[in-house]
Amino acid sequence: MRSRKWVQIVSTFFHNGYLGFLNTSQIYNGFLKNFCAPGLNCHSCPSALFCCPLGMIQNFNISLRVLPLTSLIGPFFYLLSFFLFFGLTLGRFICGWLCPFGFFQELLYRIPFYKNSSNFKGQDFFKISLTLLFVFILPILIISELGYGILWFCKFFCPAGTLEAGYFNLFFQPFLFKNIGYVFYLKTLLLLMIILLCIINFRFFCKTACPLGLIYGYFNRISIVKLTLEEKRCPFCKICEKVCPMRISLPEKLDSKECIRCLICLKVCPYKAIKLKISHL
Amino acid sequence: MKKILFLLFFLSLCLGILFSGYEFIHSRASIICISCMGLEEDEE
Repeated sequence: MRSRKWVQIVSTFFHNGYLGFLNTSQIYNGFLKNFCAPGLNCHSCPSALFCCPLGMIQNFNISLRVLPLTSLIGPFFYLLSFFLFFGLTLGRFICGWLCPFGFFQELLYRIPFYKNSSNFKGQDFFKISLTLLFVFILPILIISELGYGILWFCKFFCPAGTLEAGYFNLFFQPFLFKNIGYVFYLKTLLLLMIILLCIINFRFFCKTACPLGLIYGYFNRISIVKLTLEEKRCPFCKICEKVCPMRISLPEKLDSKECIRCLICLKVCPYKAIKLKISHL
Repeated sequence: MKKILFLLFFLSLCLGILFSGYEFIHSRASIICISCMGLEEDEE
């Protein structure tokens, strides 16, 4: 679907539209950093215009034991409003059309190599456990001598952070090389593994590990933009299931939280039974 | 359900702005995050 590709390209530049770093070697710190990006895009990337919603959840969590709770009321509601807005309007449409890291994974999948896009047992459990542990529980529970927690997902896992923030900042600010330690090598190894798995398996990171996709996935059933099935037209020929890159049981599970709304099923359906619906409140 | 969640969204946005939640977001997102890069903090 050509239009999706173009939207993804535009969205990637929209997420990373700051070119001032070429002059200053500094990250953007202007007005737009008051807002969360819809997709996974590290706010420490030199060209990032918005803040990363996942990074902000963790920043909020590590502050819980340090800052007075009254000063966290504002950040809590402000962050909640972003997740509710993106989830209720688009859901995982964001993953399929707007997320820069999702687009990066799709580009990787185009590399000619051995392909096996099947899902495996326990991937949902792994994703939920990883999110609960690395985004919520560990940042709240484990604190440093200064009293602050650690951004566990960002520090030890996030491949977007390693690629966008780590390597790009090291390139533009070589004095940071002295800060390289074992965690950086660990994250680089993890990034290389994820890249390889994304070449083999379509959007491997989205399927197995992305906490943002997991959160948006729960909104798929109730988001304004959603897919619907006209059962009268559908003979259950399963053509849609055969082309689904996320390997979802279609057309039964059109509302699946794994659906990234790529709309390939809608396009191939010969009976026009699958519709993109923009529902009312 | 959807209406309630939209109402919650508007309430959250209003409370977030009222209690200056954006300042927290801006202050954290405007500095290079050493953790995100996987680098070690300076000891001094």
